[in-house]
Amino acid sequence: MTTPQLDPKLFAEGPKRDSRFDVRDLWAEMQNFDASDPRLINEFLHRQMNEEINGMEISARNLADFPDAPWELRMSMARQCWDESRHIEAFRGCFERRGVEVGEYPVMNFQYRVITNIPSLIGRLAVQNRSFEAAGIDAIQNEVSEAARREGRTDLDELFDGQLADEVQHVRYANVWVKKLMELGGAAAVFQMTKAVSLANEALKIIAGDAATMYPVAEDVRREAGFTEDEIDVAKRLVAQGTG
Amino acid sequence: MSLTVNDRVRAIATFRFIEVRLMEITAAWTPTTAEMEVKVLFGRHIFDFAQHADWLGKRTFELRKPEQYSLKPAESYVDVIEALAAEEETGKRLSALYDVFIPALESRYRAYVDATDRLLDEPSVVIVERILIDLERMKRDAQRLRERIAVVAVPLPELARRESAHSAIVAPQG
Amino acid sequence: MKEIGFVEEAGLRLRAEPARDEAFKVVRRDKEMAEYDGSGPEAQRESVHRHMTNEITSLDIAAQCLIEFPDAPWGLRMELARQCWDESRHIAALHRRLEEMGGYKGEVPISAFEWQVTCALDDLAGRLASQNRTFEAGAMDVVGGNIREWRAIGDDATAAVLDAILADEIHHVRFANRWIKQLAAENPRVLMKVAMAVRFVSHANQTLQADAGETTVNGKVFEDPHSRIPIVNVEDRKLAEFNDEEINEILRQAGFRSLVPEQVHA
Repeated sequence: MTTPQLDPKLFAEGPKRDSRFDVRDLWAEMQNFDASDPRLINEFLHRQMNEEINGMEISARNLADFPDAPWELRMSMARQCWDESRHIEAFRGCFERRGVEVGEYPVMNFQYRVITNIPSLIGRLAVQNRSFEAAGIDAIQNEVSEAARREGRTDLDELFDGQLADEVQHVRYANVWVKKLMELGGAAAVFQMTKAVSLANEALKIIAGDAATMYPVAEDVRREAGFTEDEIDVAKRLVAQGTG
Repeated sequence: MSLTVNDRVRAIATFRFIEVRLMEITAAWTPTTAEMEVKVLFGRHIFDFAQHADWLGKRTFELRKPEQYSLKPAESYVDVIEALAAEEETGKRLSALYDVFIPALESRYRAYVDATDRLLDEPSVVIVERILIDLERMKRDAQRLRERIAVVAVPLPELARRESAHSAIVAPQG
Repeated sequence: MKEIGFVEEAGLRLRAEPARDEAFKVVRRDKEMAEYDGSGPEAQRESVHRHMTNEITSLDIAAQCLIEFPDAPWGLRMELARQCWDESRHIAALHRRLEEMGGYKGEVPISAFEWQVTCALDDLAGRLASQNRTFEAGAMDVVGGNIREWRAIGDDATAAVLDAILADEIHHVRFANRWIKQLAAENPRVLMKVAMAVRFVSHANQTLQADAGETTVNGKVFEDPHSRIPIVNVEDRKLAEFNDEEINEILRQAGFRSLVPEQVHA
């Protein structure tokens, strides 16, 4: 379960997986099918299911690790566990209908390992919900339009559509609470958040190498999730740098 | 004599403490349980426990204590909860929660409904009856899952004995 | 559906009474009511009967607010709906207790004064100021003292019913305090409506209450109105989110002026 090659200063121990799963650490170790490969969508669905597991595990850990967090925030995190657990089953249903089994493709647990290495809740929220999940929103929005363009309204389209509505809520509550926690915690909270984002960026460089996939920023959905115009502009600039 | 408002809020706040701990325990178990389907079951039930705690916490405010007020149970009962939290093996976790702890909690909720004035304390009764419906569904979820992935129920007589040794769980008023 | 209209009483424009079943004799003046001295069985039953019928009036008022103010904020409508549930349980519990004591519905005349005054007001903040902040807060003071009195005569069953009712009433007063503040913050004219409502309630009370020396239908002589003000339930008024200055003002009106600090004017 612990991977010696990753620096424990940047990565916590990984979550448990049963024997069906083949867990890899680096993006380069994944299968990375070519865009024309018919297995691409199956591998994407399988990987996405595991990312939803990571999302659920991170929220669960936040509940267990921060018992003194405000109750409303804990309710939102508990709700996220429920949402992610439903997404896991929905993704599983989608790839099983396409003849794929659990564990057929390798998976990565970098999100869990990066985020649970962050000691503050504000830092975890900023990285998971405002960064990973927000990037997830862009990816889903992109996939929704791609899937609709390719296949019309399919089970995938339906899944992404429903999932997107939930993910918007997750990003929104994180946006609200990061602001509130910053108000409550003052300079110390800002420092914790900055440190968390910097740790996560460093860790992601190791995981992704040169192979990170950037999706176009879903401006309207990000706006709905509580991002300001300035924050959306920053996200667009980062995508432009990453894909340029 | 039925329960006073003070008796009621102490019982409701104790139940809230337990539901919050169950939320935290299932949350702590989620990343540390390997079997994916069990992980998903815990992930789903975390929110059930959170909602129960939230409903009970709104009721504490109506019973003249702060909103989301919790009361730690009697110390020896806290030890039983922590023994549940300490289970490591998946089969034992499932049995401890769904075969021992939840059925015991259901009995305690029913005892509360029997003891209180159903009319005057109807808001508490309605909340508890909604929770009982959820707990029944949660046990069914767990049972169906165990049949599907062939996890055998593990008898835990010591935990059951320790739980049932407590006729009352509300801490004595200090 | 039939609308409930208005009536003229002693120069006041009041809301006509809500529907009551035939068992009740509905009157408008204190002197038409029955009251008993001491703590004998008749006095006990009259007290529970009066609480019960006041709760019916509170239910009617909260329900009427839901009907007549469909554009009120949803959070406030939820509170009013919840209040309807609470008052319904109070009525049932007091009726149960009345029957256990050998009493029955309609045993003594009743009044719907709180309804007639509150529902004569044409805005919701005014009604909350009248019913929840004035009448229910006043009832909170009365019930706080009553619980001790019932216990003192060994009637724990009635005390337990009132104990549960008091917990609910505190919240009814509290939500009114919260919503009046919120509505006033959104629209300063609300405060003027509240002030007018409070004046109307006070005027109606003074106009319709029995004077010293008048008698009830069963011959009880009324004392001076000032001596009938109950002890202020300071602790529960704080729980219901009255601030210290508001509580002091109520204490001053209740005859404790010398005990409370004078208001500091800016």
